[in-house]
Amino acid sequence: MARIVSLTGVSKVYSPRVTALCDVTLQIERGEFVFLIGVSGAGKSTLVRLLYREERASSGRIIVNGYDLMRLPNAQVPFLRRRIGVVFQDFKLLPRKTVAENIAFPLVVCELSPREIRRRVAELLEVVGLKSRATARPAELSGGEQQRAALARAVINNPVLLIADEPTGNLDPENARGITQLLADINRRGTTCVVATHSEQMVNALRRRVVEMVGGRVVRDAHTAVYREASPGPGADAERGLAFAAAGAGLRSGAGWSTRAGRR
Amino acid sequence: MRIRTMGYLIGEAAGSVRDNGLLSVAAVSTVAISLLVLAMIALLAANMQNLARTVDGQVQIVAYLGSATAAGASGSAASPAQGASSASVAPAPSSSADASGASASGAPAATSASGTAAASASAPAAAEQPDAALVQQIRALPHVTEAVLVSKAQSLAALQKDLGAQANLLGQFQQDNPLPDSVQIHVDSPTNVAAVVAELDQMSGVSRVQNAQGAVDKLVGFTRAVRILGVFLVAALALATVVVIGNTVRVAVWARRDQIAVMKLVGATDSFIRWPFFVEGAILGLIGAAVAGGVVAWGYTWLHRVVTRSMAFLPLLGTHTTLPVLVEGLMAGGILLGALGSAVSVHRHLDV
Repeated sequence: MARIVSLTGVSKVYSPRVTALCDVTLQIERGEFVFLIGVSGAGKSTLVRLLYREERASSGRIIVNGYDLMRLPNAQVPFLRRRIGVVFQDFKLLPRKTVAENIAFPLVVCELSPREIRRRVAELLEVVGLKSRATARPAELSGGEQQRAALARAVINNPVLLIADEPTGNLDPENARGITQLLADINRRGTTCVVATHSEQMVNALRRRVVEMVGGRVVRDAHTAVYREASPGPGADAERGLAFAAAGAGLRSGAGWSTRAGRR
Repeated sequence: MRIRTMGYLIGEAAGSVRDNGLLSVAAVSTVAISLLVLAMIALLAANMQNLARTVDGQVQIVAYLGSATAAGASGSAASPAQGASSASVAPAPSSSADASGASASGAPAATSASGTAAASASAPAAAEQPDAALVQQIRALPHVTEAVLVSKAQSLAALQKDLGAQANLLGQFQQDNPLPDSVQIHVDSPTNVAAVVAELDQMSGVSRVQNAQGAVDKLVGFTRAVRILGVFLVAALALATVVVIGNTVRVAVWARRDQIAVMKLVGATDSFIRWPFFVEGAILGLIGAAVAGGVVAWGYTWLHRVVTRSMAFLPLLGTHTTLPVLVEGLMAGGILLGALGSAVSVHRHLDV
């Protein structure tokens, strides 16, 4: 089974007025590194949240690591997530726990032996360069260090899929580069990575597959690509973006009209 | 569930109890007060039931053997009694009857005679026969299961024993026993007491009939009232306890929402997320129960000591038999209430 993520005709409608995703079809092979790009509100975050069943799609078909997410019972969701690592813009580290405890947390939850937990935590602290900060609390770390701790936590379970939602959004360029490099390292070890970002720097540094979204639709899917499509000029690019934004707005306002009409 | 996971759960729960501070104290206090009231009601009800049973089991009917009819029955035997225990007061026939061991007639009425002193061999057969015959007659009544003759000397001894340290109050009565002879009668069922009493009232040789049934009925009725009231009171307090613990756990859930989110994210099962909150509720309940149990044990021990010293006639249940059961029950109740409170709260506020 080489394909790890398969979305077919996926839509997500929050309310009649808000359509976050519209007929998205996307296949991701095992071991791939995929950037999801697009402006805020384009549907990147919604798309990644569907992948670990934080949300359910309204329609379509989603297969992740062999699980049919449209049919997966809630009780099975934890077992899906144990094979997926997730990293967020705001790190989501637990402030009361030390760095080592934070990194160990997924293993505690999976009831591994303390000895195994210690071994794997020590190993990962080394990989992300936080060995000297193992007993520190998250508040004592810099943003870059916190995100490295979060990354370590995300991969301690040896996930088949790593999802990062704006992982460098809160970081300065220097730290962002470090995190980008770490993600590339993790991918090189065989973990499939899906990174939602609007960091042009990050995308261009790695030159991997880029999936661009506008208004809830996939508008570009290119391999070894950069952030912006080669285009006649910056003006045209901006125009295109505006046009899509207008289309999205039109879609929404149209839906809005129908609900208002319905109410009358 | 693995043992290390249990350790994790208890650690998490204890940490949450500590973090919740004042709210935990409030929850523990509520549990303690509720269980304290429950324990007091239980003790009161148990003791009243015991009292009713004691009174009921002791004697159902007492027939006092009286002068008028007895004298009539024995006819000419109006002479002073020969029994050593009573000199002059009581009517002769009855007083001599306790010497039935020596009865000339050899009547099988010897059930009661065991400890009496005056074996008046010289007593006229006519004087003691009526009592023995009377006991026989009573025994023959329908529904009577047992009839035992109690001499006035025995009654006095029993009274002396009941009074304990205050027995010297009896003073001169030791010499001059004013108590009448009596027959203690047991009936097969409490419902037949009234019928037997009616029969006894008709009987000659019986001056007065007393039955404890009225008192027992009142006690039983009062016990029932205490129980019913107790059930309502305890139910209301249990509800309050569940609500307060539920609220505490709700705050704990709120305080840990970030952690819960992360737990869900990294693949914790729902039960793994919920358990620490159940354990937290159970810990709160257990601490409250321990407080209530301590107070009740101390208080009841004190009460028991006071009562046995100055009111020996009250058949208070012993501390060794009641308290362990009571405290264990309180602990179980506390844990149950606590877990129930958090179950309600987790169900309503933990969206997993």
